[in-house]
Amino acid sequence: MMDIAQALLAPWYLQIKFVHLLFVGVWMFSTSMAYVYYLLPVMKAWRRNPQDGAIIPLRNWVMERFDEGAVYEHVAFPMVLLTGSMLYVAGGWGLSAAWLDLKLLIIFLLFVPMEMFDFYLSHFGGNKAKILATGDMGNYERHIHIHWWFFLVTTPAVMLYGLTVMFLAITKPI
Amino acid sequence: MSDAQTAAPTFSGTPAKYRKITIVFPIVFNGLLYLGMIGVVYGILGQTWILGWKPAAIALAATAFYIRVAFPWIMGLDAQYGRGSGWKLDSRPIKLPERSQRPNID
Repeated sequence: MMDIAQALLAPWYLQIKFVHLLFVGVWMFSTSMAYVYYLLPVMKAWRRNPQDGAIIPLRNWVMERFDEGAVYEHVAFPMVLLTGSMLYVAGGWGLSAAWLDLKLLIIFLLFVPMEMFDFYLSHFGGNKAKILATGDMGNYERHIHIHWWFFLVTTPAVMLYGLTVMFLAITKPI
Repeated sequence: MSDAQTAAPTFSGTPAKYRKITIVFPIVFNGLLYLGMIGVVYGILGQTWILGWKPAAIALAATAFYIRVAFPWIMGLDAQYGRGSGWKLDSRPIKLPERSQRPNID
């Protein structure tokens, strides 16, 4: 079965790699400008003035818009996993490539659980617009806080381990 | 968009919690990566280079680096405690755009 899949995919290795890198770019960078220049300034303002009546609606708006903007990232991530799996098969890769072992450990121990929680926060039970529609403002505020916790904790991890993954994939040092 | 302005609960993040997270997370996570690599490279492939001092030193250095940079990073993001001085905080009511309903063309 794997031999058949490899025979089918191997001639398309570089084309699959192109699609893989395209989605990696979308996954890693599609929300970066919105995060740095829209979300962060508002959240910083809120943290320094948590009861400011002018900042809270802006905070809520920017969080709800960010939930929606994360669609690009969250379409790209499953495609990264899919095309990455196809490359693994097409290239005949195995455990002997230590750089790939480390990269996959980082992806499956960190990025997959993190993105699953991000899916929840952005599109499912944690989606702020959906919670708002229920009228449960306590739940709404709680999920704003959870999402801000998520951003605080994951930002250094995403940057440092994301760059590590890219470094491993490009330089294949081990 | 929500206009909820009733006294909101205080955000639970504090410098002590951020410090704890930025110490515990890299120790646990890099420990898992190191043990995972030992499991694959030595346990499955039988190669001994992963048991040498270099992989252990890299894991320790990566952990120390994460602890060194992540705490001030989070403090900077959560600008109540960090610097965040590049942003002004003047309250100014503004009209925000709302998503309009798509017209039903059926």
